Amino acid sequence: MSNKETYKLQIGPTHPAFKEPVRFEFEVDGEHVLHADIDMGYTHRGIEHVSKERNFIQIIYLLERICGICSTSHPMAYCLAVENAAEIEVPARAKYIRTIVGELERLHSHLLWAGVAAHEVGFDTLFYTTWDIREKVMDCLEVISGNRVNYAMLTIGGVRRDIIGEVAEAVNKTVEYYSDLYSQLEDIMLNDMSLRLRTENVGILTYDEALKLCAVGPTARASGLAKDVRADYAVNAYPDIPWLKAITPNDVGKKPVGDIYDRIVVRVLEIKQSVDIIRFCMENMPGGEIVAEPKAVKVINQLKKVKAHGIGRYEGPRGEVSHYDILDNNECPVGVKVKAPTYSNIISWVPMFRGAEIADIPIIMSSIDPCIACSDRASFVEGEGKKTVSFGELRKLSMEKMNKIRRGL
Amino acid sequence: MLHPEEIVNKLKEYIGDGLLEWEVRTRFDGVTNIREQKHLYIKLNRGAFHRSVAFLYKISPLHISCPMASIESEEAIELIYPFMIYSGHGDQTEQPLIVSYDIPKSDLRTVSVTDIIPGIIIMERETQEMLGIEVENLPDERRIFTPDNMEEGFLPLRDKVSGISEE
Amino acid sequence: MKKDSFKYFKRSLWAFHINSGSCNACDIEILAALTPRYDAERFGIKLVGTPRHADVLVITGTMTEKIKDKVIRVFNQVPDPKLVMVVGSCGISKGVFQESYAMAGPVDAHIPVDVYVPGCPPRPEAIIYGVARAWEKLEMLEKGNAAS
Ligand code: SF4
Repeated sequence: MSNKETYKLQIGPTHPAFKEPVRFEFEVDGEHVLHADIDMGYTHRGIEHVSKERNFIQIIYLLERICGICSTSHPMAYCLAVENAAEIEVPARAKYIRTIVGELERLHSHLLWAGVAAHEVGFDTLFYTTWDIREKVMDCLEVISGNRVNYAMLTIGGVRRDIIGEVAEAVNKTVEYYSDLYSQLEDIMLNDMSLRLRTENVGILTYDEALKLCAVGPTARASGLAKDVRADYAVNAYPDIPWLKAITPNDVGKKPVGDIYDRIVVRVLEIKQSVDIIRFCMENMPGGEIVAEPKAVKVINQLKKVKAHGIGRYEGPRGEVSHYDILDNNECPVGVKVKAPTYSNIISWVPMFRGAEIADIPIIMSSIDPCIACSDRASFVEGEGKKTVSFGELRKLSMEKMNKIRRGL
Repeated sequence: MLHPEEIVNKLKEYIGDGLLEWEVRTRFDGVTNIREQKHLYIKLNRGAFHRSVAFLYKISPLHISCPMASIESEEAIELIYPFMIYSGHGDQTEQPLIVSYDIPKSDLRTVSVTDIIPGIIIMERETQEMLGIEVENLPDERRIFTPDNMEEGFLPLRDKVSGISEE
Repeated sequence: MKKDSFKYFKRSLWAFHINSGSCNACDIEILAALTPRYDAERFGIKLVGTPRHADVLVITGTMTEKIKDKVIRVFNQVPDPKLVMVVGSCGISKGVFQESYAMAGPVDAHIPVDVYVPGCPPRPEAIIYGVARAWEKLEMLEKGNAAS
């Protein structure tokens, strides 16, 4: 090629979730991406600032709305942080219930991701299948909490609802349903030839890059970096589970490459792990209280007397959720610092995109599970913004590539 | 794997007076298998920060867990970096290592550690944007989160908060 | 559904979804409405990839300062007759994010809104019901246009 002119390609900016809406600017040479640049902040809602005007209990429900998909993870990290600062002891039963709700959330989130990823590579049958399967766990969460999303289960010092009687039965049924289904799901996700061809050796993040860029969650684990807050740091009932460890592609006897396929492997295995954890918790759940102090006013008064810092960490479906709260004899924390997992992973996109094809952009984008429908709108801008191509066309490119691969099989 | 006190001793040897205060706090979790987690809080001199991070990173790669928190007082802003050490070793052995230092309000500057931990870049950009602390040697200085039409000098996470200009 | 409701179902209704700063919960419920359990596509309701093909603009979220101009631009790209539907409490009234500095206000402070679906997040059934109401209004608008 004699003509070495490169194009700028813009994608975005509509993209959901806290701190995650992104506008990409790619520098492309023909079909290949040379460099990616990221611009964020479109749905920045100033939650850290708003939280200065709410009291300790109100903040829980505000933080739940940071992300509607990992809507237990943020309140969980916040409650852990406040409990850490004020040295509140959480009852044993509450720890188990927290674990169960957290794992149910992971189940729904990973299934959701599997669907979105399948959609991005043009495999819509799988998209509809996984979302159909996912409705079962949504039902279960609804039975437990009364809402499909944003379950408001947590409070400082425990949980708000118990899992007993019919509710416990519903959870057990859900566990059975998914363990029966798992082998089928694993077979589709891991052995489908066209999916493998689209994802193997695409969007690579090496071990060193993952370490340097502080990647978290399945994104890091797929690169062989076994970071998992559940295994690294003592939270909830996780230390009780003797076989719990971070899942990497090594568990299926595969050397981690850090490509998209490895991320699928990690997430699929985690579906099984979640089911096992829920079963373990249901079998071993101790009795007793579910909350240390049920009266919100008393909790606030107790927290008013505290002057300390607290750190709360939890492994959300997408990775480490971390909160740092500063309590200073006040009705609300004087500082709430929030980190969502995608915040850590965003920077990992840069090496993943290097050298990628344009048709692979959607799948690489969603491979870190940034939060669903980033597929809102994308446009190509060629030269001085003369030509624009819609996201629909980008997806068409992706579908065409899939069809080409299928035909070649 | 080093005990927090050993980490402190090594660091003290290396930076001497740069280390102002330190404290180890313990936290327990688990039900039948109760695990103990040691948190190390270190307070440094601003000048010793970059060197210390480089030194600690050599012991074991640091993971930055949360964007920098801040406490504002009359003359200074305390900036708090929640690092983690020994991440990924499993078995509940990760240790939080919380490093903080004061920045006088008359001279709101600090230095970037992106050369040691490249993954910290977005958090440093956020610090610069939200707190108005100038981060030197930052490879990328653009704002991230706040709207473009925001008043010059509006710093959302400082105590006094103004608003967005009505166009 | 009542039998005579079917008189409205003359053609398919295409919707374009834009996120103006939502927490994602509303977005996944919209997607859930399209998948097999709720299957809105059996009514011909479909999400499209570009505003220029859409009849209804579905907005989730609170309208942040940074995205305001983009939403207005998308609104202008939707051909007439068009309807705007806001899904979720935070787009209707700012919801839980009241005091935030980054909010440009509820969606209807900036563009005209026809259908509100309250809830945080609303259930998929509620979203489908909202689209059906939008549909009725659209047909009414078209009838009005034909008459004049
Ligand atoms: S209405 Fe509630 S659930 Fe929907 S986007 Fe807003 S905060 Fe999230």
